[in-house]
Amino acid sequence: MAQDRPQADDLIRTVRAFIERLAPDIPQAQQFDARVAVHLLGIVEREDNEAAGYDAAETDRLRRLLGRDGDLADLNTELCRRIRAGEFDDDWGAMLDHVAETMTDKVRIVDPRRLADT
Amino acid sequence: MAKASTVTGQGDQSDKPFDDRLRNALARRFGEAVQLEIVGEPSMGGSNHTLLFDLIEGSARGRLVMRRETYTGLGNPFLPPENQYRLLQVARRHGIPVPEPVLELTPEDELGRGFVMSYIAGETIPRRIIRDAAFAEARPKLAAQCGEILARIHAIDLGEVDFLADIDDSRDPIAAQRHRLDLYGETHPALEVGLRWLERNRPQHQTPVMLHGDFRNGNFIVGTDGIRAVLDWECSHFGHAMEDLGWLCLRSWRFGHNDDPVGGFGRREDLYTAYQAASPIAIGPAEIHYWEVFGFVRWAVLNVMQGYGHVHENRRSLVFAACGRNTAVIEYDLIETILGRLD
Repeated sequence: MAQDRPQADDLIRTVRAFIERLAPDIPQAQQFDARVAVHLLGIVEREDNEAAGYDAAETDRLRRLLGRDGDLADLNTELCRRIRAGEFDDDWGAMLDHVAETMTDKVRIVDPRRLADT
Repeated sequence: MAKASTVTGQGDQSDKPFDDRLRNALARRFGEAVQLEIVGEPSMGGSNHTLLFDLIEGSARGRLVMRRETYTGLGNPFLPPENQYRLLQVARRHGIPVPEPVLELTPEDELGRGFVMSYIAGETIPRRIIRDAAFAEARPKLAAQCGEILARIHAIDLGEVDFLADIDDSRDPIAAQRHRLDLYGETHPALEVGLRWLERNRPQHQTPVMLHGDFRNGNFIVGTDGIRAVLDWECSHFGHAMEDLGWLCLRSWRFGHNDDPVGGFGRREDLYTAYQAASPIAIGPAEIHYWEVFGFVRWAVLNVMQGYGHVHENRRSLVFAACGRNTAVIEYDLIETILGRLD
């Protein structure tokens, strides 16, 4: 069943704007938590917009890297097992490129400003 | 400012009012006439509850700090308060700047596990230490001070702190992180990469030293004159001396100030030169790099732990929730560092 307007992303944006507007009046002791709250809502907004694309790309890369099918969770469990067992020890190249790309996409959601200061 | 009645923490199942219990504990050391006034509960750290209060003896007033254990979750990596207290005593004996240990809590105090130490005025918030004009003169000295203090910590005879020998991290720090990560049952390919890299690139064995274990911007009390005290000894263990130096240089405590790799406030040369002047242990840049990789793995596992506590152990808070997600940023730094694209 489709929900009425506004959509979830709009609701989050509205709450975030409210906390940001409130920030100067929040007591000193809670200011840090207020900033964290705004940060967390930002994560939810970006995850909503971007995560599906990143997950699909990650799944594709994993299928190629591991040479098998499966969903994202299965494939990552298998990747972890193979890294731990030393199966990439002779050639980390493609595996490491994949993990680096995955981490970059995750940071795009969690804290995109971090990618600018490298 | 917290009112006394809102003070929380362990031992609060007692029927007696919190203020009375604290006053009774302090009377053991300062006499029955002692009075106290709660100042507040600064929110800091994920392992201890901190309470500031003033001790009033006649017309004299002195500020003290009580630290009590709060973290008791799965894979608890933190030293119990009684060992933190002993470390403060040892550190003080060796001229390392730390708060004076004043009183240990006992079970009869009904205040939980913890201790009281002296209050030292100054700034602990990293962003302010890095940016505020008030510390402009102190900042260029901090990296060298870190080197001198670390040299003193690493010179402590292990016999004086033999209780640290039993800790997982003292035996095999890599295995300790892997074991802890496995407890939380999450899938982290980047941490598997880090752990595998650490297993395959172990540095040559070196005589272990006592490590602070969490020596970084955020755990220093800084005044306009420089570092006044080193706090948070709950991660101390035995290990490779360069582990403490690598940890201090992690990107995680630079807050964007990457031109100053040491805590966002200083240069590596200043840290290394000061350490070398005060310690017989040779600085090894390649080993420091190794322990930076290790540091990212360890810091990531600690963030996984806080996120796990939020989701599974009812230690719910905005900050612990954010820690769980912050893991990705640390893993990013880890992988980029292994690839040689960050320093």
